[in-house]
Amino acid sequence: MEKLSLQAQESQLNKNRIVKRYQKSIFYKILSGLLLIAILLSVFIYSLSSGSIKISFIEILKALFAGNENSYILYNIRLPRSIGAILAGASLGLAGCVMQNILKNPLASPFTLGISHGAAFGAAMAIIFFNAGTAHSFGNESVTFFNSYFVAISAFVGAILSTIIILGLSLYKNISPEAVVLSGVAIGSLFNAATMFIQYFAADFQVSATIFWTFGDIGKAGWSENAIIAIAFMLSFIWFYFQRWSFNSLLWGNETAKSLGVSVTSLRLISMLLCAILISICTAFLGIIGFVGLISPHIVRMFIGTDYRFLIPLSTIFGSLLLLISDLIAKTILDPVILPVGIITSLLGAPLFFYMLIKRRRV
Amino acid sequence: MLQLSNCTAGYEGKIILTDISFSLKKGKVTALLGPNGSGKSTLLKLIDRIIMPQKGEIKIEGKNIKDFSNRELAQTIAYLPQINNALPDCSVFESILLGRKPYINSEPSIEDLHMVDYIIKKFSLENFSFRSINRLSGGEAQKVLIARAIIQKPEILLLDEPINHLDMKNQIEILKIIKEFTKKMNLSSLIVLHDINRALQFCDEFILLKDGKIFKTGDNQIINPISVKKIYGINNKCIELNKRKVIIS
Repeated sequence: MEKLSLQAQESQLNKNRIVKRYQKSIFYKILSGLLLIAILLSVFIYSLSSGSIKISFIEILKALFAGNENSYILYNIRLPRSIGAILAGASLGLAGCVMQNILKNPLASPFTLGISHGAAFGAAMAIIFFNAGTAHSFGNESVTFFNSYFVAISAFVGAILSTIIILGLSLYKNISPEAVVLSGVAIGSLFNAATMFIQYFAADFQVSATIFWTFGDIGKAGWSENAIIAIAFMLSFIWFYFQRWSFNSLLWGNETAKSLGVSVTSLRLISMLLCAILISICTAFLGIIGFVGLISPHIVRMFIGTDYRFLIPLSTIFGSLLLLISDLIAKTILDPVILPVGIITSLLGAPLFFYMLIKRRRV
Repeated sequence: MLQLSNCTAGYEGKIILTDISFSLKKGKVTALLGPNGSGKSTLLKLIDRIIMPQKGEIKIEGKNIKDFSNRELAQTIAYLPQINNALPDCSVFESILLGRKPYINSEPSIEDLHMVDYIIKKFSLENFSFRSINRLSGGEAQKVLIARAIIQKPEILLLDEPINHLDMKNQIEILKIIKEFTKKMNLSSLIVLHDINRALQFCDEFILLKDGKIFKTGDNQIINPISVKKIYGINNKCIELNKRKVIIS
């Protein structure tokens, strides 16, 4: 009798032990998120203070709330740039995280669907055929876009066009996620060829302007661009977060997901569409920013695992942090020259990805 | 009770199953037997509405499965497909908790967590609770997947070759678990099996499928040298060993 009672007590203790351990793991994941937010805020404040004119934290607060000689720099240059980096990084991290799930491919990233090439083609069309941009040689101000909104809209149309082709293929032939990835590569190659073709017949200054446009640059972001990115990001984030259990189910394959009540086809199509719109907007305004969308989910996964309840928000925050730090490096590494952030993200991203492959942890 | 009436189904215009009719009894484990390509996996997919019937209807307690919402169906049928691909890098606890998805609105309740805890102990998985499922042996991983299907609290349990690639000890352990929970939860369980003797050992009812058609349904009386010869095309004998029917070839 006594032995049985002891076993029951042990069982009860064991029961609590497993549930408590699970709850503890959840607590640590939430703590990781809060820590990332704290780091992001610190880097954000630092990014506001750094630049050709150093501004102290107190001066930043004064400039923002009371107004002083630094207010103009902060409100018109540094704030939109840093907020742009946070929003674009968040969008790319979010889209990468979702696309790796729905396309069942760890190498899926915001550019897998050929969106960046579509956007570059659209921008090239605007610059070369509609004379929306040209290049000069006046120090840093080497490129002028006469109508940057026209270039952005044209890039957006190009990006959406590649998306429509792939979504159309998915709907018409009900192709597999693997085939979607291959179609993305093919569409990207097609748009690349088309861009090179029109560049071949363009004037030198137009080719320069086209190439300059493709450099991902957070400096292109103003308040209105940021507002548009913010709206697209918020709507997508809310929808994706509501689907977190469905994404967890989809990790186990279509049939398991269906048997757990997931409407797999519509989840995949809506997610692909939202990712495409989000990336198209970012790329149209800021140019091509590589690696953030690919690498952010992988790094987060190494620490918190594959649970999309946490992977979605943490990849988003990590994407922001990665792009903000990259932009900070881009601003300061060759001061006073400001490098396009796309160069830094690729420079940082490639070795980081190699490191993860060598470590072989959840990649 | 699950009832299929004159169901014909297939993929992309190709018919795999023709005129399928049978019903599953509650509290009974039914073995679905037949040679490769006879349509066993397709039949499970048809029942779980992964593919739709071209003709006929499937009813659960008199209600057509077409009229179930995705969530309702997930609360009624748990389906475990064959393990073909690498499993995701999820812990045992997370993998089993996913079975509560059809009931979770936002986050799992404490009851959900305790159910996971209960089933982990019941399946003797407590030593691996937080280990990644893809670092477990085949038998342990299969137990985790069955645990997830059980925690879904279904009325119908569909398992596609749950003992494939498992050693004899794990095969017996898994089938014992399935039988135990089928009785305890009054489930209608349908299992695709290739080992006819394991089926005779653990299953109560049998469905023999050949070329996409039902050959026979019934208790273990339908498993005899004639039906086995007709289904699999092999000469065989039926003997009795320890009061148990055994087919030898």
